[in-house]
Amino acid sequence: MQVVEVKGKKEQSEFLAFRKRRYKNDALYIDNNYFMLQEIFAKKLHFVKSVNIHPVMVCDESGEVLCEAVIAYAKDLPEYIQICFFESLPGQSEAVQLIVSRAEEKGKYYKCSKIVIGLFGHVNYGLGLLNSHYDSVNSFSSQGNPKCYNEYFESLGCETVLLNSYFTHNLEDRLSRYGALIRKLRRNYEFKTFDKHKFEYYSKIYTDLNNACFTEHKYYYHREYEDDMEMLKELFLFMKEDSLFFAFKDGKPVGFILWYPDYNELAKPGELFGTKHFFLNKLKGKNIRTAKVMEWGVLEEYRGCGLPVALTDCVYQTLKTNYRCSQVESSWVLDENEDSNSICMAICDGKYKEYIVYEKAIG
Amino acid sequence: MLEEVKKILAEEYRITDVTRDTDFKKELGLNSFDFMNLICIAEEKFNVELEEEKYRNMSTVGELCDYLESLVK
Repeated sequence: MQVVEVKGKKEQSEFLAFRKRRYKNDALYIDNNYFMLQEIFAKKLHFVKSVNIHPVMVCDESGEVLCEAVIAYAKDLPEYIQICFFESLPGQSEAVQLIVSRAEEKGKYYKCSKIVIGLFGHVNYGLGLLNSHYDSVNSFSSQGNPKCYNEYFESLGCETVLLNSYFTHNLEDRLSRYGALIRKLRRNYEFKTFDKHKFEYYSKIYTDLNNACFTEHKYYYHREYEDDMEMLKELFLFMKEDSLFFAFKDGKPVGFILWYPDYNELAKPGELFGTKHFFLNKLKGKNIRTAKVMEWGVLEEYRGCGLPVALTDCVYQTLKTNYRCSQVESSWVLDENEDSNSICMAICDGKYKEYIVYEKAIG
Repeated sequence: MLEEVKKILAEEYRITDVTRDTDFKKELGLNSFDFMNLICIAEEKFNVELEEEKYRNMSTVGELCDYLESLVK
């Protein structure tokens, strides 16, 4: 077997086709990353300007692809060389080892000290391989992978970083025990939704809050305004303005929460997520049962007053009034982040899926 | 004041069997939002404003009662 660097259009097509074949008959996975990969290959994303991309495939003697990944180096996360968008056939530990070795070579070139597996370029595009619930379909923008992926990296003696997601089965009265707190916060803070007529203004607020709230978080690195503008433009093809709430104190943005319906409920397992689902959502108004809270953040100086509860309440009130979603799944929270896990335990029913990131020191 | 606080805990959290020494977190299992909510209820009930610096490190029912009493007087 050999490692093939994906440089031309032909190899890029092969790379994408492998991914498509991999999940075509998989009843437990809806691919939300296919179109992002297409855009990465086409160098359409502003985000790619700050990331060096090295897609690779491992092929057998007959040229069949056995596994593939994008090896990425983000200039603002210089400690790590990333193995992202990893896909493989089962039973290919030898081929996977070749990808890891290639990542190690690239890492040495860029003077990185570690390989990280499960980071998708930037945490805002995804973090973690699935590490539990292998028998359930992935929600929109969450990872779904067979257990053998984890076994590949565990067998290489990688260190692990765990992530949790949380679930709330019934929104009715879920936050009523915090009623007085919410009333006070609503008196003292102003809550506004995103306004598409002031797209740039609100998008910049979102970027500034991300950079201020998450700078100290593991794997996070500075976002450019253009990165989020292009990400939000794509998300707003699907989501409405009330998917992004901001908290203001005396006119100053101090917190936000981003959520959207689990659009994967519109897709059949094994499908690529795309235009068809956009129309199912926009035109046919298909019912989506689950909402997904993707991220929330509060400036450090405004933490400790309960703002996450009020922001979550904004979402729950919107879900009750404008949507038919009756349950909520959270995105990942780093297991080491005690504050965020405590908040999730307080506002959600309990832990749900576990995700995992692998790290390997470069020798 | 102890009776008033006990009444709030019973109505809001169905918690009974409370003394001045009862610890909000360790014995009653209140999370930080529950505690902040309790503070807000007390503010509404007694029409006072509690200072965060004063209540941030409170652990027992008695400490809250004493602080409320000092404000309500």
